[in-house]
Amino acid sequence: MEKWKRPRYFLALILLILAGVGTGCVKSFDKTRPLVLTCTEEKLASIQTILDTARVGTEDYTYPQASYDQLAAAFEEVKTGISYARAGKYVLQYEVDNICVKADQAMTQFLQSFNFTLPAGSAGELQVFGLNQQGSIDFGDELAYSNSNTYTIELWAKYDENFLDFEMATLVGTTSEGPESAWPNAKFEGWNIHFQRSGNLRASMGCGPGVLEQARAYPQNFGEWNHIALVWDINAAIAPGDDRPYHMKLYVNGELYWQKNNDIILGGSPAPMLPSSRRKMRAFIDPYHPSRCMTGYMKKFRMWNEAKTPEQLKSLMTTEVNGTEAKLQCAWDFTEVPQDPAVNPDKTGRYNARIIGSHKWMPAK
Amino acid sequence: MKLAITARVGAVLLMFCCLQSALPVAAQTTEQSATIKEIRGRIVNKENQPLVGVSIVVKGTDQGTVTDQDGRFILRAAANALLEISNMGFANQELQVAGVTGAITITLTESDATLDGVVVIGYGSIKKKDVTGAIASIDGKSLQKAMTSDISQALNGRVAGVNAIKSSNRPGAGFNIEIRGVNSFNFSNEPLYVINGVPSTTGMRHLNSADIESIEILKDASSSAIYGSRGANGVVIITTKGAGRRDGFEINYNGFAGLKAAARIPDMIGSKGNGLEYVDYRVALWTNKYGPSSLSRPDFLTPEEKERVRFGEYYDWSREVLKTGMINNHNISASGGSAKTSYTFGLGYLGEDGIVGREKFDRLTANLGLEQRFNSSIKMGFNTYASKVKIDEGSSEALINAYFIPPIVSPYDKDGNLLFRAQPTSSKVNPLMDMQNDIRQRDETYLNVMGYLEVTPIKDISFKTQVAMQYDAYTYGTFKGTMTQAKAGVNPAEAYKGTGSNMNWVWDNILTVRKQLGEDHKFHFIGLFSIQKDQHEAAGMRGDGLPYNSDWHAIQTADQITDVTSNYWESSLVSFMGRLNYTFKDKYLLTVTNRYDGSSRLAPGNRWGMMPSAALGWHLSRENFLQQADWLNDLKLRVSYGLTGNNNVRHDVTQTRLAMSRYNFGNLGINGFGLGGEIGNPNLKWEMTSEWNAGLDFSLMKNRISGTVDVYKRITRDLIFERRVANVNGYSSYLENIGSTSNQGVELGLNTINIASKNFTWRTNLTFSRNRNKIVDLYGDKASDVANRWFIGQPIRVIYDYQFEGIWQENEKDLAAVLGKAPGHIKIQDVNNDGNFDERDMKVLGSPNPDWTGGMTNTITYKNFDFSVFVYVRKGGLYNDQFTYMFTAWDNEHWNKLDVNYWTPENGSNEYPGIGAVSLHTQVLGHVSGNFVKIQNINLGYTFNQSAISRLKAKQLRVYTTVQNPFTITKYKGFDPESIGENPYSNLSVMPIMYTLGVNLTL
Repeated sequence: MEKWKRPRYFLALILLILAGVGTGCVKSFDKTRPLVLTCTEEKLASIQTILDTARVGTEDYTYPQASYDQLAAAFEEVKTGISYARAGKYVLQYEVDNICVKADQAMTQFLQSFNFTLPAGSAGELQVFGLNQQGSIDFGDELAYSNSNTYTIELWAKYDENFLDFEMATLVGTTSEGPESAWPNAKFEGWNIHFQRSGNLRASMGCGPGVLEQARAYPQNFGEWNHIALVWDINAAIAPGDDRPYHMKLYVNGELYWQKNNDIILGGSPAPMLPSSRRKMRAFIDPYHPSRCMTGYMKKFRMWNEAKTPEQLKSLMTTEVNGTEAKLQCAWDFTEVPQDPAVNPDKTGRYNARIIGSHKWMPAK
Repeated sequence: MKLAITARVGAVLLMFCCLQSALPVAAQTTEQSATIKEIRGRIVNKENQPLVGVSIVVKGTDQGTVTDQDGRFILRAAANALLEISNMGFANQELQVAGVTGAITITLTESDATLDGVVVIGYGSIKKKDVTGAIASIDGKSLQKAMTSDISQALNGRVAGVNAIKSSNRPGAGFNIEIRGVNSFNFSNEPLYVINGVPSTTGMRHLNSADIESIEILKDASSSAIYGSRGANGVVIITTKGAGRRDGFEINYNGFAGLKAAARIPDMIGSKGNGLEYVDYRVALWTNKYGPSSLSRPDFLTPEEKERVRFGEYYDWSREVLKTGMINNHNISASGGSAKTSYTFGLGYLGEDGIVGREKFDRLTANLGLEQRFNSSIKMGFNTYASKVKIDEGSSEALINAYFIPPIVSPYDKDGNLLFRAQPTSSKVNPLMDMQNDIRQRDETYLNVMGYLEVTPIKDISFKTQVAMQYDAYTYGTFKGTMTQAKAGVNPAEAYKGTGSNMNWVWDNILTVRKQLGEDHKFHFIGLFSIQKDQHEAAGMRGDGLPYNSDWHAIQTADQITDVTSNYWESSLVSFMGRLNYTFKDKYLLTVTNRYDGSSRLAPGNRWGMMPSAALGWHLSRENFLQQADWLNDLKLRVSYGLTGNNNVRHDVTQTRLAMSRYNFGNLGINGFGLGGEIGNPNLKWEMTSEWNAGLDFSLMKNRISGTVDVYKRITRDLIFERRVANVNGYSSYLENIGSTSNQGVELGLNTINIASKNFTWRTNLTFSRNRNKIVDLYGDKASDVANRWFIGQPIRVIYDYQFEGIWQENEKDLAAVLGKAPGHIKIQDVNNDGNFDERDMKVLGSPNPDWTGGMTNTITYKNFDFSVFVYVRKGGLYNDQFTYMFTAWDNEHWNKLDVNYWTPENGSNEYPGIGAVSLHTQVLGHVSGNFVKIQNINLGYTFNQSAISRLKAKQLRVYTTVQNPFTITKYKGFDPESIGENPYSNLSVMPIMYTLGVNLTL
């Protein structure tokens, strides 16, 4: 038997070598986690303070009774949530955090709801509370809004911090997708100017099989007006010094913000933008993906059926239009309180815009 | 991970220990035999110097030993046994044990060659010493030891210059073989397979390694030129075991059985029961992507999902769908013969389960060979090989769905029944149900029959006429029931059935002349006249809306029958070939080959092509100036040049096909025919490949180091290329002979005897291959074609995309913002520094061709034990991998992701973007390196001494155990770095680890 020990040592050596090849790490798993209720208790106190100090009434700068009741209901929800958490009904921190997020929304909504009435016909600035799809501007459903492949969208807008809380938020757009919307037959249509949660001001063109997009960080001048212009020209020529045409350009306050060559090629040529089959044009909410919404202000909106030059745009920033200008497709000034928020005729007399849902007219600053 | 590896090592240990513990008993038995004789001796060369590593084997068995540093050996063998003594560079000797008394000294005389072995080179064979081209061989034993169900896989790392690309790890999945890179853009780059003399394009899946005598790979043009218009991609010559035995009778059984399990399982977030990790991920994803308020949406977590979290009920889906499979392989063969007749017969069965769902591979093989020698001048015989293969490919999408579905989803309802829509918030269905209703089966039949008559009317001249036929047929059926991902639980079932067959006839007439003039001049001439005809037909139909589950056997019951097709085509080839091997003074070798092929695939006027080649060999070691170099046993220099063609073009490339359209006239549908999208070109001629090859065969240090080095450059011209044109003439493309590609590289094969002592030997076999593929020209203007991603000076296949440079970090926020990015986004290189990211910033990042590949087999013997480890290495290569891309880039709110180092402000990862960051350019995450080191095969065997098995009347008995794929070192996040790029929706598969126990018994 003795001589059989040697092969065993030999094998053991080989197997030890093999065992040494393996590397790895041991993971330790969380099984349970304690919930932290600090946030909910703080929100409870904050709401209580607001409820204790808010003036309820019908005069300017008082709060409507209905809003007060909604905030009081939110207060009860927070209390219930804390109770659930302590009773073990909630097991994950996000459930507690949800209570806090809802409490914040309730407080914001309450604070925005103060009574203030500007008489119809007086000058004012329009704020649309679009978050959670509470408010928007509906420009109507018109083929003309996305039927050209040479156009300029021009508008004045501003926004405060925390103006969006979703992945993306449409400022204004006609985006749609064709009936064959499932990949790989997706058919993208229309145009869109939007903000991204990641911090970008982006525009997109639905060019059939693809979406042409370009982005740059959005201006951080919260509470100040910006003139934003999107220029699309399918026939754009190569400018001196460039090696290619730029079909899509975005200007902010008259300065080129970014430009993009159309590299979606169909049949050897740049793909044109397809008209929106749903024809909708909306502001502060996406016409196709309604969860992409935001809160903000809009002062003026114009659409031109031509590609404006930088010089023309700079001029337009300080020019009023009367609706009779050549190539002007539509134009609105949201600078005067309307009699009826659903009746806002454009300057060309062809279209009407409806201000929908939560919004407020405040004295122009 | 550590647990898994420990378990794996443990399993290896257990299997080996089981084997080992069984052996001492048997070994003790060997000690008791009285008929055993111990032979002691010393082996020397003619200068009386000891020879190290000389092999002494008991004939007909694996039992043997090798000489130690002093040339000594001790061997115990039966008194009536015959010993075979062999060493590289020396002539073999045989020794009758009965005649041995006391210690003996054996003097080996140097032979003319490093190896006296014979190499099959097509239409004949020559001694290895006379080879002038780059030819690699692998014998049947090595193939069997590799234990791969498809022989193709065994070539990787064992044969330099061959790259077998695995499409999937599903049982029966095919391989694409590339020899010295790729040449052609539009047509196949597969080599020509010649199975028992019949040219074939059906690969090697149907072949049983136990039936293979040898495989020769003709790599350079001078070798493959013998197959002329079909040799440009190299030639794989497969010789099955034929009748050749001239005395006695022998039965051999070789079989093994084993278990298969997953070797590597990509870790997903929350796998292995860590469900809270997944919940954290989902909170982060929704918060970052949709904002904190989105967590209040009812679909963030369903009530059932919340309940599971509450009670810690988590499912590791990727492991839920896996199972342990069985593998069984049994081969029995018999061979025998007399002075006049030789015969062989074999049967084999391989049954290999997959480890997901229904996946399975079954193969039944049979071979029969007979040779009758009427007299010294006439012999005739036949060789038949038949194979029946059945492949159950398994569900298309079950495995990928198991990766999509997160751990907080249960496959079962409250009563324990399988759910179809296990996750109501997702489109992905329960893979456990999908795999029951998504069936894909392939039945294949192969028959290879070859008969010959050989006449040697006068000495030195023989004539052989050989008729061979290969028939292969397949039936492919698919059934997708309603309860599958494809049918979404609502659409009616669909079935498809396709059938096809190929018949290939070849008649070869071969004249062989072997003549020696004096001592110095040796001639070996082969002349060939060959005709070949191949016929192909196929048909298929699809039925939508089947009323009941009938697989694909009642398509006529479907609501709608579509995709009805049938086709037939044939082609033929006539060839004349001559090859002359001339040897002068056994030092200088010359091979000249010329083949003249005429193919029906090209139009008259261009059908015939001449493909000449020439090669020179020089045995330097036999020159006087090297005679004194004792350290040098053999050194041969080879140089060759040749032209070959590529017949792998469509049979109708010169013709314009009519395309059928369906028109409606009133209520009638009318077929109309018009010009198709592609116009034929009657002026097409052969794609021609020219190749230079230089090689060195060497043997040093008393043959302890031997090997081969080859360098080559191959250029393919007149590529048949699809040229796109504006669709104004009614067609959008036509084929043209334009373009040129090149391949150049180096190959190394090295064999060493590291240790050779009385009881212990250690040998190493090493291969190394490096190939550079380049496009030389496309359209005659040396301009690249960016649209098709073809670039002059780059390989045919490239990854052309943005260069990944990491992740934007918090401290780069301002710069990122200027470029439209944010921390956590993917950072790509702004190649032209214009501040924009567009196609001008794309560049060639790499190619899915490895920089080099290598294989190393270490074989250790200790007394009767043998132990071998095979390691396969691939370095370099950039691949586009859908699996990695999908599961690191996609931020679907309900699916799972790979558990990798995603960016957070705290960790500052530079590898993967932030969760829910909505980054652009995510496709760069799918670019993965092809580097890996695989310990692919560990084999431990024990050969019983003859005395121990004599009672069984056995000549040889070896038991062995093997582990396949025990360890893989790679950064690849998917299953198997060797099959990167699997189609995730049809072929995603798991690399198996396989443990087997086997027996090899010869009676």
